[in-house]
Amino acid sequence: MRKVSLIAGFILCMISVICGQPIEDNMPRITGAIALQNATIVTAPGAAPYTGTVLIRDGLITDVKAGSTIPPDAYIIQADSLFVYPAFVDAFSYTGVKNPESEDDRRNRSRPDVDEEGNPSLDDAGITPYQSVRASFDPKDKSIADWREQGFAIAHVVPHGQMLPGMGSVIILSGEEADKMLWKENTSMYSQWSGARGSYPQTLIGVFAKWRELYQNASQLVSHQAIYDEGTFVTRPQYNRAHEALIPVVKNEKPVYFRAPEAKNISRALALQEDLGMDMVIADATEAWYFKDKLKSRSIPLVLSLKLPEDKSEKSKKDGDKNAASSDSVKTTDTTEVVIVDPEKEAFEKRRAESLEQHRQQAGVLAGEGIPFSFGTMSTRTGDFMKNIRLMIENGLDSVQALAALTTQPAKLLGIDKHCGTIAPGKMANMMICTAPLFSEDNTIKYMLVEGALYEYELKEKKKGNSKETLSRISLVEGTWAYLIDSPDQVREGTFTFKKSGEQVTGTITGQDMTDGGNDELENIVIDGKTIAFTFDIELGGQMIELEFDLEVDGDAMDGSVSVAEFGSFKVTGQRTNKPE
Amino acid sequence: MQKIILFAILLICANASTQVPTGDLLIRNGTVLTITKGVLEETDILVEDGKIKRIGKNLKAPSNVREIDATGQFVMPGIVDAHSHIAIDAVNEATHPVTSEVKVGDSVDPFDLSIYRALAGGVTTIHAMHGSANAIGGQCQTLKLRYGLMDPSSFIFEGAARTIKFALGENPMRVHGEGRGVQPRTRMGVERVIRDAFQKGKDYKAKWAKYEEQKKKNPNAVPPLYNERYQTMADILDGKIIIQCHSYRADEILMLMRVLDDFGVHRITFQHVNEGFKVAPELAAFGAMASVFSDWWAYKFEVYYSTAYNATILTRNGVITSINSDSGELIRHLFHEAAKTQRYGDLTDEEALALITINPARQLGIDNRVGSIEVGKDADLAIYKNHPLSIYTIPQLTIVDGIVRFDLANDPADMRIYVDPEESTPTYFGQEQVEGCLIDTDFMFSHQH
Repeated sequence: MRKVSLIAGFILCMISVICGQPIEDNMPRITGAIALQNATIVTAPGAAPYTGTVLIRDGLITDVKAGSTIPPDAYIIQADSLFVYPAFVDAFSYTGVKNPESEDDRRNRSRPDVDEEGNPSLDDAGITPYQSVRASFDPKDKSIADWREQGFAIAHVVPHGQMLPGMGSVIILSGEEADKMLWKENTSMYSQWSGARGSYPQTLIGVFAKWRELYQNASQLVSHQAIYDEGTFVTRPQYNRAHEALIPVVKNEKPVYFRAPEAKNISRALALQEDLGMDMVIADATEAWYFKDKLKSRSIPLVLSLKLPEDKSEKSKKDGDKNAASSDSVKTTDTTEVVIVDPEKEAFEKRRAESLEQHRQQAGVLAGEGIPFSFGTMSTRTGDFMKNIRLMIENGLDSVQALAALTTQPAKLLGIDKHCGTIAPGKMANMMICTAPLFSEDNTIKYMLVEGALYEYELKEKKKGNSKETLSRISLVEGTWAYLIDSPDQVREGTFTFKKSGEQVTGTITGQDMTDGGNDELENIVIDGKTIAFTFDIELGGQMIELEFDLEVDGDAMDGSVSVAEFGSFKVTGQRTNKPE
Repeated sequence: MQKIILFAILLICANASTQVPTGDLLIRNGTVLTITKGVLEETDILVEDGKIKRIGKNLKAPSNVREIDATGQFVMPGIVDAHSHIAIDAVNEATHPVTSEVKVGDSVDPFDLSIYRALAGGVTTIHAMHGSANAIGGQCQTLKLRYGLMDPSSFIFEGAARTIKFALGENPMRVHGEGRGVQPRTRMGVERVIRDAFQKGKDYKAKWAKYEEQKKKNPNAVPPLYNERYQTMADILDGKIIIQCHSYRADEILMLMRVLDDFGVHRITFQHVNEGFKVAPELAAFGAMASVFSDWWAYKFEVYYSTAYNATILTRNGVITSINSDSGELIRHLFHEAAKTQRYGDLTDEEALALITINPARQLGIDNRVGSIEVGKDADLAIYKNHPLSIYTIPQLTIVDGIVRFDLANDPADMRIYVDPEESTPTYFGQEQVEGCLIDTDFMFSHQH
């Protein structure tokens, strides 16, 4: 699904609501020079926009100013009325990283073998600090193109796992092979409060104890190696690859990115840091305001999650319902409705609403406190990204700070600010070319430039269909479809059935494990042109997980993907088996 | 102006030296149950910076200090629960019969609503324990119930003795022998596991001592591999940690005392110890202490031979005894639990109240700080309407470090600190989680091995 394109058509400026679609193309590059002519350029967060031309050659920005002379071999993009911003840098994510262990493997796994000391192997214990993310990096993973389409050019990615999954690397979201995409390898250590399954260390307290022991032994190994190198008659240090891999951590040469979404995860990570003294970055945080004073006084770098909690209020559930929010209605004999309000329920809903608001305000509050932070996409779905950023901005985050947390801040955190984060001569040509100001509702990305590679996205007008059109759209998908989901552990099979219900389309799903939670309703079905998107809530191990389907229909065939929360996205194909007459 | 600056500096210094907030109070005209110094009628207690500053009549406090009128009410030391599993997020690291390296203090949960419920029963200090899945479980943590603070570290009882959980009998046999197919499968196996762990701790200690010795002569000496598990065993051997041993049967209680004798370890409190009444003289002679239930038994085979006279018999034999909750529910009325010893055994008021105050404080090595009302001790106090050993008693106020943490007159319906933004609307909230010794071990029984 590579969509590098150097041949661009004439740009239609659409004022109406538009959405981007990548253009299927695979033409070889014929010139390394690109000129973005007459664009509105925002070179850095907070910089005043001005109209000018950006020149790019061989992946680097060579010139940014009004009225540059365009080299004769440059491929020219007439960017009048388009906006150019530095592309985003993702401070913490799984982009392009496969989860080698599927849920099913985990469930069926027998308890690991343990030696007589009761210790499982390092792999079984989830202690693999020696593991590079390269081992599970897949340059063809769909998430790379997905996040690029959202404006990301660079990402700091880490491997999946438990307590110490391994080392993270900085990748460039463009290219065909790992060697080209992995830019700076093994620059970070990744850790989280996840115990091994069925073996030591299983619990939070086990992970804590193991961290102390590993750290102490890695420190001892440093001095032992020094003595071994200098002296004679010194026993050779025993090789332990976990201790070896943690040496840069104890020497404060490699930061530990500690995944700490919730308040308690954060306070415990801070306690571990205080205890051992490693360089730590609190990552994927959704509740950092609880400890803002500590974060501020100890200058611990922070990567905030782009995930926001769902609005679970009854109001949002049945929007427009007269009897929304904590009330039940009773029909009395004279048919007037009496609304019974349960004060306890109401108080509960109120506090939950406050909590929801606090989560949305996190970034704004921290920015107000002068605490620097970056954003990371680890727990976020691509479809929620812009929506959530806008929600944060509505809840007090300054848009300049939002852009900084997506560009200059993460570039600084990852030590690549010399090359990335702003638009300036000499920097890597990572830019997004937008149809409107960056965070505005009607903005869409028209082009992405990732190290000079140009990606073009098709702009399509969102149809506000009349009913006739609606019906013709429903017939696009009406009927029963046999689908195949290509997930890493197995190919999952089942059916979708779409039905017309008035002017709406409804859908159901079947399939192994799919409806264990007792629900088979497809939700949020949107048909647009030849594509259909919908979601389905599946219950996995007691947890509700949202599957997000995005499919293109071609006659009786469909083809596309499903993204499964943080686990990644998988290919989906389908065939219509039954169509109503 | 200068005065203000000086005051500001003093404030800053005070903040720097004390990590947790403390308060000033004057409690007027209560019946003070000191536990160690008798009952003082119509007496005031002056609290300054979280400490009991003066006890007496007609005390004066600076005008800005809050006064509490305790006329007709009873003031006792805050209750100390010697066995609890509330306020922590991990109870059992049940993956090995010996996990002396883990610390439940690493998993303190400041948001646990059970903390507030315990305060509502007059409890100010708990001993948060590792569970009983392993023969040698993790290190426990004594906590002060400073509900309202966010930082887990602010719940740690500074200066409390280090303690560790041991467990005898059915629980470790079932989790490891039955559940995982490893030693211990029997009570003999439990003894073996404990002896092995002590021996390994002893060897480990010797290895490090040898290294320290070598280092003096040889700068190139290299330290042995660090092992948190056996380092902890070495600390027990060095008397730095008090053992808190889950036990029921008299034979296994005697067994453990023999094992400890062999390794020269003498600091121990037996927990539950339902058959303690059979070996009370032996426990007293060993210097072992006991923390029991008032009248809870028959929940498994090894807990049938029990009596409600247990606490009395142990007390009368000179064993320092406490009554504990081991439950998020019982913890709310430990005063009733203590009162039962007056029905079963005729303990005096002072002896009965000592079971939930000064005695557990001794068992946790905090009796210099809490457990009685004395000048210089922490202002951890509970105020009751009616005598706390009466069935009609009602807790009114609970004070920790001079700060009111529970006030019946101001007891809002929703005391949650942390609110989950995605929690579905419940029919009622703050659902009780039954606490117990075998939390986190379910996985052991869901696998066929």
